[in-house]
Amino acid sequence: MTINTPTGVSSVRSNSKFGAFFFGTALTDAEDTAYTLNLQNLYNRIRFGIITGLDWQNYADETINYVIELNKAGVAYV
Amino acid sequence: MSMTLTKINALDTFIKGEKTAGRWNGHKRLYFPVWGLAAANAICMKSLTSSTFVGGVTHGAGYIQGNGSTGYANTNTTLASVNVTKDSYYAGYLRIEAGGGSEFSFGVSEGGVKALQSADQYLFNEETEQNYFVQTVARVSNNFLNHSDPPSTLLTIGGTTSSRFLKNRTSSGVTTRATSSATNTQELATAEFCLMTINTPTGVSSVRSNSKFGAFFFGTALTDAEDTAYTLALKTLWETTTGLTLP
Repeated sequence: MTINTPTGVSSVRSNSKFGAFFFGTALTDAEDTAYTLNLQNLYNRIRFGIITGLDWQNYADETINYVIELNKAGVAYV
Repeated sequence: MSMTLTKINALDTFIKGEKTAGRWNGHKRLYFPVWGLAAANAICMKSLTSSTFVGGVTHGAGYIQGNGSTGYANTNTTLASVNVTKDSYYAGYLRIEAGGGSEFSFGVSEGGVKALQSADQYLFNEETEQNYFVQTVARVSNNFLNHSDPPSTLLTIGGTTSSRFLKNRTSSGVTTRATSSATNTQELATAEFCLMTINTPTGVSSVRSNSKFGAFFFGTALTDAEDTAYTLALKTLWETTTGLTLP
């Protein structure tokens, strides 16, 4: 959430909301596509799992994916 | 309409049941517009792709309803693109209240609305003002259902090259309205499948439904027995999720 430099941490700071940060060695274009989809799915499941307190292991992937899409579309869990 | 543990469990029971029974892969589009929100109602439960709502559509608790003039939805999907063919098709809807208009005027047609005398193929096309020809695919001929027959129903058509059916489910159970073993030689229509209106190669029909619907779906063929099991599961899902009862 900021830039580091040889002379110290920058005063420029972010106030965005982040769910993940990462770096590593090169991925191909196709690998990036697959990785970001995987990360997106992980994030959605963790986030909605926290919201609902449900143990997703008990549910079919198709159920989870549909419920998450509904949640993103505005169907809130209560 | 919010999501609850009861609804998630109902969805999971339905989806797992369809998978276990071997029907899930055959479902190509399954819209369950009960959520009261356009963005959520647009989502296909199977593919997670979205349909597009156009014009006046009410998103009620447990249903969607067109206004009979401007409202409809385009699934943005052709039957051919999901391998639904004249030799293996299945489609239907859960209607909870007939609006008194063009209840059966949705789906796709090669020849336009009210062109039943031609050899064209249809899935759900209006015939006259009072009687509605639900299926011309493969000539399950003269299967007219009045728009109030019954107003609340889970209606399905399905078939293969030489075996087809038209059925409906109410609270009283399943009724087979017609069957046919005549060989089907006509390909299905090619326009994108629409809900609450008919799509044709020359554009979306001006005939629109103003009934209340709780589900739309199409896919590859189910057998008669599979249809019976599927409609019962879908009825249970809709009733559990909405708290309403299919009359």
